[in-house]
This record gives sequence, structure tokens and C-alpha cells, in this order.
Amino acid sequence: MRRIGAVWRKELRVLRGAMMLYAAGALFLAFAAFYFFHMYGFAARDIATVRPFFGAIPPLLSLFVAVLCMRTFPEERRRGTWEVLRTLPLRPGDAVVGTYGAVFTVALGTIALTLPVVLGAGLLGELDWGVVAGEYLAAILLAATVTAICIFVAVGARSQVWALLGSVLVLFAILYAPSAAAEVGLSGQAREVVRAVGMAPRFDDLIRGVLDTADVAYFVVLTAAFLYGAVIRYVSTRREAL
Amino acid sequence: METAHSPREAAVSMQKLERRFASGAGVGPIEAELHYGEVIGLLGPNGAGKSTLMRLMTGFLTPGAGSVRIAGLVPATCGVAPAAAGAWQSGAAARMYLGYAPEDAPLYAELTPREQLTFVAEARDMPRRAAAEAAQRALERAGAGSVADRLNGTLSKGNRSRVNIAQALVGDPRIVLLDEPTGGLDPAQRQLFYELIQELGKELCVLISTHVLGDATAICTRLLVLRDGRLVADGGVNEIVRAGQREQLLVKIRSGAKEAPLEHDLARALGVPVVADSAKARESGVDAAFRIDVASTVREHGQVDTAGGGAAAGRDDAGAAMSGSEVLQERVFDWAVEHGYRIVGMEQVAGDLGEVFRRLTVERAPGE
Repeated sequence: MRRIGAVWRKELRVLRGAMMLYAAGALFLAFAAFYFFHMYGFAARDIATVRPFFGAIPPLLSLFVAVLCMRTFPEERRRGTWEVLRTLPLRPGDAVVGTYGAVFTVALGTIALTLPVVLGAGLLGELDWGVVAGEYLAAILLAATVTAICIFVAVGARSQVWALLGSVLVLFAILYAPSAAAEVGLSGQAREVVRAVGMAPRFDDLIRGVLDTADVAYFVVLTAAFLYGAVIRYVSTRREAL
Repeated sequence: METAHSPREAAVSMQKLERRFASGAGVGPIEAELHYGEVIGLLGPNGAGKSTLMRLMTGFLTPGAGSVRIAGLVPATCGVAPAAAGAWQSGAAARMYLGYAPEDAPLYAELTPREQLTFVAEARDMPRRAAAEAAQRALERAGAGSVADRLNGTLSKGNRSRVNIAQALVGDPRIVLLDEPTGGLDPAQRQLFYELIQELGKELCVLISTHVLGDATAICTRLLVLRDGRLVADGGVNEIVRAGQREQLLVKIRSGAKEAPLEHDLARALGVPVVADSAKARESGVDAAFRIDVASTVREHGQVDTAGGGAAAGRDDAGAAMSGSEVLQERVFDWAVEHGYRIVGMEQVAGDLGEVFRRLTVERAPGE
């Protein structure tokens, strides 16, 4: 655990020094708040709910975390510190989990920064705080899974651009596969399979206040699977020519 | 890593170690053992495979064939089967013995040297307070204490090199690998670096990759010379110089002509390479000085390769036996007379490490 902690602290310090992090965080919050208050028109409606606000989070959080992960392993490769990291007495899991932990921490911090928006909405109307708690749980589970997917892509990416493009592609495929399947007219068992692996419907269930253990398990299993995959990719990069 | 080691115990052991890339570049097969109490210089021209060899030792790359062991342990695997988890653990244990400073001093620009070295110490499984102390000790040892709290991204090249060296010393590793560590160091810093390495070399195994021969001769007790990824010499500095030295003829000329055309003209007349030695010319107050390899001259002209010039290489006008050096002197003399140049001196000299290094790493043997 000490080594994982070492990587976690190092990665947080590196991210702290990255201006891109602040810019991406500010954009994430600004877009979410703008959508909620202006486009959705929270104040003009009769229903007091922050569900539309959380509904806007998946694509925004996916982009934010993909930008953060671009700054991890691909950045290490770009500036040569990859060689420092890979020659320290760390086990593959230490490096991957420590880096994952740092990005997840920043993502959690950013989700926490949405509290003023939600509390502000609570002042304007009567919110169901039980549902709000469920919505935050959904956002945290989503952040955990999205981070694992982006770390999986970033470990093997040769450049930051590929890491970003790859992460966005994989994330949006997993998020919106069910909607896409419906659009193209997929039906029957195939549609059910696609719906089962898609992330957005499960996230929507959670923010509606339906706490189904199958949905929670889905996020936990997907996170663990992508993290394990990231460790395997990390190990196999030792074969690479430089 | 406080364990004491016998000086003859192998710190690093390479057996038929090989790694080739798609381009054909790479190293191997290499057979060598490095021991504690040695300062070893890894010499070779650019592209000879020095960095690749170091990366194989650190586990940054895995071998294509053969093996490398650090204190008896394999430093890395790219195996991903569940059974490989033990190998991952063993690789981390092997890398506990290593301190490594990669080429070009890669540092985290957003961290200070103190933060980076504390991270390295923590990655070596040290508790936070002990890690901070180890980082401070290493920074002071490498002469980088004064920049400990500045951001790495703002450091000069010399200071980056010192932090990079400090990085290899954190946590007192038993084996220290330094890849081109003296880039950016001024002469005073270089002297301090030499003293540090000599101190470390009393107990540790220190491997320094360099193409600065001054570094190698100043601090190394043993040299490994690489060419095209292969080990072409392995031994003490004096041993390699003695084995590789070949007799040369040093010719000093007063001609009124420039050195370069003369060099070209003389090489053409003799049919062998001629090397201008401008420093010797200045020192002797002549227009030009040239070094000519005696053995190559004799070989080039179909005579017996005398190497030392002792055996008969030709016959003079009276039919008496002439050594290789004498044959060469006669040819140079004829050339000078023909062009009206004055030979001020001709003497037999031995090549130095630079000349031996050039021959080991650049020259091709006949038929190669």
C-alpha cells in the first residue's frame, strides 16, 4: 500500500501543476451549470429536481477524465519519466492503481464542486435529498468506471492525442451503445445484450433513485475488469522498442 | 539495501543477453559479470547499444534471448499469465538493488527535486519520514542541495544532471547505473562527480555509460567497450590500452603548405589512413604532424604484419632485412623528397586510449 500511496501522491502533485486540469475542471462545471439553469430552465419549472443536471454529467465527466488521463502515462512517455517510473521497484499494480487513484481523486473533487449548484437548487425548491444522494452515488460510480477505462487506454497509448481519442471513443461506445442500437433499429435479443452492456441506461436508473444492486455491481465489475486490463497492458509494454 | 556483499559476488550477470529491434539495432549476445567494488565504464560510439544494455539491466526492456540477473534476480518480465505475479514481485525485488539515472535526466517538471526524490524513496518502500531524509541525503551527496525546493522545470542542465545522479543514489542502492551522467556538468562539478563515484565504487557496483574518454580513464577500474551491440573489449583501462595499442610513426614536417592537403597527399602516396595531429604540430612548432599506423601500412602493401615492427617486413637495397617501421620511414622519406618537404622528425610512438578506442569501435578488420 505504501508504494501505491507514493504513486498516488506523486501523480496528484503532477496534476496539481497542470494548468490544463484547472481549465478542464472549470469548463466541466460551467457547462453543467449552464445546461441546468439556462437550457433546462430549472427556475421556470414546477418540479424541483436536479436529475437533468446529473443527466448532463456522463459526457462531460467522460471528456474531463479523458483529458486528465492524457496527462498520466502518455505524458510520462513524452517527457521520458516513463523510464524512471518503470525502473523503480514498483509492481505493475502499484503504478496502475496509484495513478488510477490520483485521477479518481481529482474526479471526486470535481464532483464535490457541484455541491453549490445542487445546494442552490435546494434553496430554490424542495429537493428529495434521498434521490440526490442516489444521484451522487451514480456520479461516483460513473467516475470510478470512466477513470478505469481511460487509464486502460492511456497505459498503452503512444501519444496523448491517441489516448484522448481512444478514451473518448471507447467511453462513448459503452455509454451510448443502447441508444445507438435503438436508432439503427436493432431488436430482440441483440438489443437486450447491447442494453445490458451499455452504461447510460444503468446510470439513468440510478439517478432516478432506483438503487439496484445489479447496476452497482455492473459499475464495480467493469471498473475492476478495466483496471486488471490496464495492469496487463502495463506489463506487456516492456516488450516495446523505443 | 544494507546487505554486505563479497566483492567477487556477481552484482549483475549477463548470459547470452540479446535484444534486437525491428530496425536491426540492439545489443548482444553479451556475456559479462559485474561485481561489487568496481567502477565500470561502458564505452561505445552513438548507437553502439549502451542505453539498450542499461535498459535491459534495469528491466525497462526485457531480453529477446539470454538473461540478465541483478543480485541473482530477474529484473523484469513481460509475462501476463496469472503465474507471472510471482515474477512481478521478484522483478520489483531485483530493482530494489538498483539506482538508475537515465540519459538526458528525465524529471517531473511540476515537482521539486525534493518531491521527486522523496517519491523515488517511497517507491523503494521507505516510510515517509525516512524517505524525506533519504532524499535530502542524496541531494546533498550529489551537490544538488541548494536547488532542492525549486521546480525541476526551472533547473539548468547542470542542476538537472545533478538531480538525476541524486535520483540514482536515493535509498542507498547496491548497484548504481548512470547513463551519460556528466552532460551539462562544468569542470568543477565534474571533479566532484569523479570523487563521489570513486567513493561509491569502494563498496558498490557502479556502471557508467559514456563516450567521454576522460570520464572513463579518471574513474573507472574496468571498461566494457561496445560496437554494433557487441562487446569488443572487457578489462582494466591499462589492460585494454596495452592490448589494443599499436605502434605508430609520428612524422613532423615543415613544408609551407596547409595540413589538410598534405594529409590527403601523404595518405594517397602510402595507400593507408594518415591522421593529422595538430596539437603535436603546434607543440613542436612545425607546419604539420601525422600519425601513421605501422601495421596497417605493412598489411596494406602485402608484407608480413609485424605489429610491433620487429619481424622482417622488407629488404633494403643491399638485401638486408627491414622492420615494418623502417619500410614505412623509407616510403615517407621518398614522398617528402619528391615534393620538396623537410622532415623535421620521425619517431615511433604508442597509441593512447583515444586511438585504441577509435580502432575498437570504428575500424573494421580486413574482410569484416
